[in-house]
Amino acid sequence: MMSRHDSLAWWVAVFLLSTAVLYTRVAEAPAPQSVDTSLTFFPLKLNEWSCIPVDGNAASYRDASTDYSWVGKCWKTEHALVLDVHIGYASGVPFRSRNLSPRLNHPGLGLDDRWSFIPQDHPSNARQKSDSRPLPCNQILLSHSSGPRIAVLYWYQVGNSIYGDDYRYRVALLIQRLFRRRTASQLVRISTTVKTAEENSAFDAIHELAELFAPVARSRFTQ
Amino acid sequence: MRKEGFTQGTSSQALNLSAETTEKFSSLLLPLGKGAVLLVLFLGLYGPTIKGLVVDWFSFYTHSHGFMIVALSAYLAWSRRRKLIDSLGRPHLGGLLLLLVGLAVFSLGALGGEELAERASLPITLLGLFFYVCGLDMMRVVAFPVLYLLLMIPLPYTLFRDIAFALRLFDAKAVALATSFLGIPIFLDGFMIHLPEISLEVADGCSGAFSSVALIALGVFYIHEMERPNKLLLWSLLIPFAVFANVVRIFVITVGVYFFGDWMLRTWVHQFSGVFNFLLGFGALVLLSIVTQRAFSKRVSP
Repeated sequence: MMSRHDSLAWWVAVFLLSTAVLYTRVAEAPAPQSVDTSLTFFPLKLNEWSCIPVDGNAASYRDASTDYSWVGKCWKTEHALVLDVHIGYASGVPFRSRNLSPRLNHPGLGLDDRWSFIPQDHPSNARQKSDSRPLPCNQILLSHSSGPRIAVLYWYQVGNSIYGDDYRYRVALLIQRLFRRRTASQLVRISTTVKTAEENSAFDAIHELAELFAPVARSRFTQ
Repeated sequence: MRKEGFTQGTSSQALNLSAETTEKFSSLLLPLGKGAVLLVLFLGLYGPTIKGLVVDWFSFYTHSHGFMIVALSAYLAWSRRRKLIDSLGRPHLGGLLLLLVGLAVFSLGALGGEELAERASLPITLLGLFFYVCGLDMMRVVAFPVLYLLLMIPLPYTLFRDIAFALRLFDAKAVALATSFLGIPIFLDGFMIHLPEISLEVADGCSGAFSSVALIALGVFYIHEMERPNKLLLWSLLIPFAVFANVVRIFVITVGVYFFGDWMLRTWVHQFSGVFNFLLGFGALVLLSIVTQRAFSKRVSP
């Protein structure tokens, strides 16, 4: 026997569930923002660094989660290293797409358990020339079980903010989607293959380029 | 005559039974209908979430224990079916609060594109529905089967890799310590174990993080369902057992490689690391529960 009280509870539950269905499942998802897909994003010269954009098809970095990728190679005369720069743009449409962490998504291979990452203890000292604020970035050493190692420095950009931490990036993206109805984000990843003894010098070079590249990447992020 | 009487008796009994059943059925019809409406709405809300979960369980072998969790949860609910029927009670306002929390977490996840929040809200919303519509007693009966579903949700891969990284370092250190007691010359560098002839890396797959999740899931079921007085001890040892099982596995491989060569890396102990960890960890848990049960019985009995 159902009492009035029971019926009221049922109606309230029905109302709440229906509202949630309508609000979350039927509501219109944010439209993708337009984005500049040109590889001219890459500056040809960054102080003493020479850069060349690499065609997306020829580039080794593949990231299935991103909508567009810009890939380039940068070098400086006195450095024997060539640095790979990858910028991944995730429009966030379909709604949940986001840049995968470079800790998990490896160059040209996607998710591969044979790669493992080693967090680097030294905090980033890269600074942006424009406003001399510390660049919040993350540096890791990717190590493959068969030997190769890659020094990687990366950061994410959501709106005008930059995040080095993977979790903060997710929270920032969540907040942006909830309150600004914007879904786009980008990942900047600077990396180079290194031998064991060269790790420090590789990271020094990467930081040097990051200082110069961060303001460019930041200003060209369209959303 | 006897046959006739028997027939008459049976038919009247059947009539009574049928009337009783019809009455019972019609009294249940309305609640069942209302329950069905709620179920349809719940599935409408969580359909895409459930689909995403199933896709993950199919796609990643490390998450495939999700199927087991759902089956065990269904079994737990089925084993409580009598209590469930008896506990149907009046709506409870506390349930409304829980339902609202569940829906708020769901909305946060669905609108913010954070599927972990969306998935985690499923058991909360379901429990809130039971609590609100069917009352406190029913909530108590279904609490464990419903909350057990939390274990079906895959942790974010980034978090998993962080846990795996910490475990790799710990495992390598523990194995190096244990191996040194056997007099085996060993040099430890992070998660690289250097033996005289060969270097072994405690890789991500060797961390035991993935197999530990399945072991913990089954361990929770086992400990909760067994009627034994030593549950607290077993709860506290569940995670250490999962870690310990992997340390034992890596120790066996390291010692095996030192004495017998690298063929040890091709044995099933290494190749099927997850299965080995699971069997070893769960076996140890069951063994400990039996031993402590016996010890407890002896202490209690005069």
